[in-house]
Amino acid sequence: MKKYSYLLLIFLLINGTVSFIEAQQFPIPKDVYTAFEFLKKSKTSDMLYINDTVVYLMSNSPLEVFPGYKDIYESHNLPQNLPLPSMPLGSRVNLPDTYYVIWCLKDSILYLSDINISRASFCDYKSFFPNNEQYILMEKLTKVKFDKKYPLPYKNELYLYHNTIGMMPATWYNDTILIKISRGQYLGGQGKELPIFCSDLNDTIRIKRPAPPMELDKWKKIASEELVFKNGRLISRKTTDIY
Amino acid sequence: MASSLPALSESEQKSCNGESFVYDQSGAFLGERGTGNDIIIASTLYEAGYALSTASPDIVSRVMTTIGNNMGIVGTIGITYENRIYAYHDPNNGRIYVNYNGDLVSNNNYYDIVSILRYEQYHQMTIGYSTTWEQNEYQAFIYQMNDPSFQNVSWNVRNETVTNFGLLHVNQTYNP
Repeated sequence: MKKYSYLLLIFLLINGTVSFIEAQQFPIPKDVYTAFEFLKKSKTSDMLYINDTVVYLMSNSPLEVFPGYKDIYESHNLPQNLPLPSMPLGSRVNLPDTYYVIWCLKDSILYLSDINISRASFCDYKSFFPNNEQYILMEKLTKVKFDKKYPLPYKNELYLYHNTIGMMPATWYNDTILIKISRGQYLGGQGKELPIFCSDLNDTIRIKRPAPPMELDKWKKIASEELVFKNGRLISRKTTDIY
Repeated sequence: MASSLPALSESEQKSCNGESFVYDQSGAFLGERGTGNDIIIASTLYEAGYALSTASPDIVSRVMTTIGNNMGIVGTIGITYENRIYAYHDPNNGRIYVNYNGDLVSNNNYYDIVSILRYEQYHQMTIGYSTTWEQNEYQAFIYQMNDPSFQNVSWNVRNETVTNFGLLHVNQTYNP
């Protein structure tokens, strides 16, 4: 009987020690090993608008074919080597890039529609690009022009966009990307309009904040899609088993 | 163990954590009252006032600065207008910025604000870090989750934070 008591005591000690160690560890959600495959694969913060209003995350930037594309604004004192901002997971791919590009898929053609500086207020772009040099430098990189005959189609979130010279068709692009819907859609905004002073316009504008992000648990069950492009034209779109 | 604990519902948060947090327009803390975990801007503790989410950018900045300074954050907290982000730290001037256009302000949850500011505070404390950015982010999440405020954050912030932390944990390359 005494022998069994010792065994029980040893078992309880081991069990208690394991429980103590487990309690000290931070919780790693089990599904991060099996889910969020899209986020693990994605290498860009670029975003893609389809049909004007729905915004998607992208696995790769169509600018990747141009060596040094991440450094084209080096001489413009963009914020460098910044720690990542805190943001709702899945609303944008959170990477330490100095800028990211907004793409637009319209009538099966991929366009570069605008360029956003990471961590610059959307009303402070003139302090970095007083003469909209971001577009000129992008044209030099891609050897394709922005053109007013391709106007930006966005009806929402106009204050986020600075481009007044039309979009650039991504005619160089012959590759495949994965896309996944962003958790953060504008959806006409929420709450009442709020006035803010916009230094770029030297005027007060009224904004509505984006709609609340989609539930993370719902979002992670949405499959990503594969888009195939030839000379910037979409030739295939299909759903994948990557979540 | 913490992963198996159920998150607090809104009503549970109210009963556990008590009251709304009242600040005046200069950002001074007036006290707590009623039920909720939101921030109210008012002239006196018992005036009806209005929600932080509808306050002007200047007032949001002052309230955030009071909260931040009480946590040990250095300097005033600035306002930025961006798409989606909650907040960020700018190592060029050492300041933390909160996104007026983002969910942290529109959600107006005191514990979410404290928790996100803890994450940014880690970046402020480790300015010029010599580790990789992944290691710095990983440690920032640990710092955020270690703070008592994390027990009371909304389900969204809790879920996002532990998932972000887990993804960094899975994806990082370690040098044992």
